[in-house]
Amino acid sequence: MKSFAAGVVITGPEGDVGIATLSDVGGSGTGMLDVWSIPGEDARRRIEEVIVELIASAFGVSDLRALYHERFDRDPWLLGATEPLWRTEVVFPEFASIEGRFESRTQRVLWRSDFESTFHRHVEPPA
Amino acid sequence: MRIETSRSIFRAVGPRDYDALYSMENDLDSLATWRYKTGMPPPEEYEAALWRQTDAIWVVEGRDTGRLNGYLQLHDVDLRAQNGWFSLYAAPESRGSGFVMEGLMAFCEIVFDEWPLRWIYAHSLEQNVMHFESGIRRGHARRLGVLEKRMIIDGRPSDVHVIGISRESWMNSRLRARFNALRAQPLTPAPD
Repeated sequence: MKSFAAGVVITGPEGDVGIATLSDVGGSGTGMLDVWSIPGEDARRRIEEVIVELIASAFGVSDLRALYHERFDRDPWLLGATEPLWRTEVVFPEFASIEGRFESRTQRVLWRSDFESTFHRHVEPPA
Repeated sequence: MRIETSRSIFRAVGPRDYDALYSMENDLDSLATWRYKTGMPPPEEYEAALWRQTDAIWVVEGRDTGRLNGYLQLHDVDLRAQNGWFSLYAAPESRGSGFVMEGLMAFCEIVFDEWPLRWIYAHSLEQNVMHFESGIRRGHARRLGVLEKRMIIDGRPSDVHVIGISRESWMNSRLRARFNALRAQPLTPAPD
């Protein structure tokens, strides 16, 4: 059961290309970031172009210490320039069957401090 | 299914057990976990809270005392993915006694025998993970990762270990063979 804190539709000149949601925001100061694109390289590229803004927004809407993000084996990560900052913490081997093949699920984390120091931006938490 | 060992009876929970489970969870150490984000529910709301996202619960009862030494919970089962999660709780006076880890063996036997699950997973706080270390060293369980500083407990960040037990590893383990061999030995009758 997920509780959503925020969600956005990502739109380019060609129309809507994807969505991003922030969920499972709790008292421990962490949240789950999900980012999805419609199929196609152009849509993925468009999302990767705005990922830094999306993450800044996610840290901005709530006083979070860290964001989690997870993917199955064949999902694109869509993390763009932030990709090197995301550390792998948990891998669930052969977690689920997708189109007839078991795929692992990988969970990664991005710490607010790493994001702020790398992108030289301080994200003001809400008052 | 009910499993008996020389010192425990592992059986499905019933309403008569709720008071004991409530006391167990209302203990200060248990309250530090994340199960009830908004705090322990009042007794009249406990049954609904206990069963939220839960598929089955078994209690570990002492054969000699009739007292509940702990309980294990199967939750968030995904039958399509064939996996689920488990939690285990020990009564304060039974912590460190091995009753609940013995219950975990019975739990694995039932879950992998009766449910179509390939993996079961658990979150373990840093202060509890030592109970899994022996099983991890012997290959009965795997540490799938560590969520660093995932929880804030008493104002301090605490790691959360993600533990996985696969059907394959349990079914083929020497631990299972030994557990079932011990179960097969004659037992003295449990008190009424």
